[in-house]
Amino acid sequence: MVFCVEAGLCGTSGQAQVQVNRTGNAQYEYRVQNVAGQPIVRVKVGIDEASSGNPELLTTPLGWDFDSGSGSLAAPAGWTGGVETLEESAYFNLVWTRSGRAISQGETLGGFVVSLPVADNRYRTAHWTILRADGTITTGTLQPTEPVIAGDVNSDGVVNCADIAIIKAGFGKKAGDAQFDARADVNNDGVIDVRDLSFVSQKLSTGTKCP
Amino acid sequence: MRIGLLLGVEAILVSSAFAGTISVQPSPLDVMAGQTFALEISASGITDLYAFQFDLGFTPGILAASSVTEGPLLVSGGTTIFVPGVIDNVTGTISFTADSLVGSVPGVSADGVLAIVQMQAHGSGEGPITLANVVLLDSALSEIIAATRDGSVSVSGVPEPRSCALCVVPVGVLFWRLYRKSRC
Repeated sequence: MVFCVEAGLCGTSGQAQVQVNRTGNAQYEYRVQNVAGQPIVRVKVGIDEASSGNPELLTTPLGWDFDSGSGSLAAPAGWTGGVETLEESAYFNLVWTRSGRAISQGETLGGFVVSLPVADNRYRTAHWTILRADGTITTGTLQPTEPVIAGDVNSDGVVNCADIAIIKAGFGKKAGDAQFDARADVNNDGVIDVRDLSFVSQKLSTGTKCP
Repeated sequence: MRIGLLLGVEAILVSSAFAGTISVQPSPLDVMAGQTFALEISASGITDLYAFQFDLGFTPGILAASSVTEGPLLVSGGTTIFVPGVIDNVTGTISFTADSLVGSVPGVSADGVLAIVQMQAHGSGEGPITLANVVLLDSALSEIIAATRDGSVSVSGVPEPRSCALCVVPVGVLFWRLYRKSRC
């Protein structure tokens, strides 16, 4: 079964697969596939707030405001979601629980959408737990499915003028602006500026001329 | 004596805190209404400059910007990617003008012009040309802390022919009275 092929984070354990992909600025979509075994009735995905595990992915605070409840969770039909772990922990868990529908064997359930309250272009999901109808619990960690190429803004596997074009198109835009393209905010500071431009331009071959 | 010593130490600390200066030149600048002129954004005393960015503010009632072009300084270090920024003559801003060298090359260590702004004087008055959002990066992409020096432009109105004609009459009367007084 081909599932974990897209750029993102993916984990496989106990005949279940979990994948998280960035679908927008500060927005992630989680998908769970039940490769084999009992129906999955509960999915828990842990998001780290602080650096741990993979320093490439977990470098800055997440910014989720537990007290104000900022950020949002949207679960697919038949599922309910919520935040489980307290702020004092180094991480919190997003939990989706079945209410009338499970993920049957061979089925993929997508549409778990998490919107973070801050601009964010790094995956921070590090671990997941799945509960099956028979009480079996499987856990795993999420790893990048593809090596990240620094400066490859459009994720086409190469750093070239197309990446520069994306940065120039959104130059000066800030998180929340209509034309803000989070891919171009390479350093994840919420503004597309010379810091992002020079980071990518330095990855180009010397002498490269971009229109 | 002690105060003088402290001021001296403070001056040394202030001057050593900045690794150069970004300035608006020429300044102060006197122009006539309707005149087009160029302002240069210049760098001095900065070493290993790989990339820069700035915003420029001006008084929209008396000035309007028409273009921003790349200066010769950074391009002397190799191929560059220049972003002219966005001109807004309503608010009097040019925002996010930027330039970066390309590839793994050393930055530029020289004085010179970063960018050239073409402007036109509209109405008479005086206004500052302010630098803001200045970011300078070296070849390690670390920030260079530099001082900024704003500029100013003074626009004088061109006298209208009609108003000059009005001046001639009273001056003529004055001369005529002086002439008559001298004859008496």
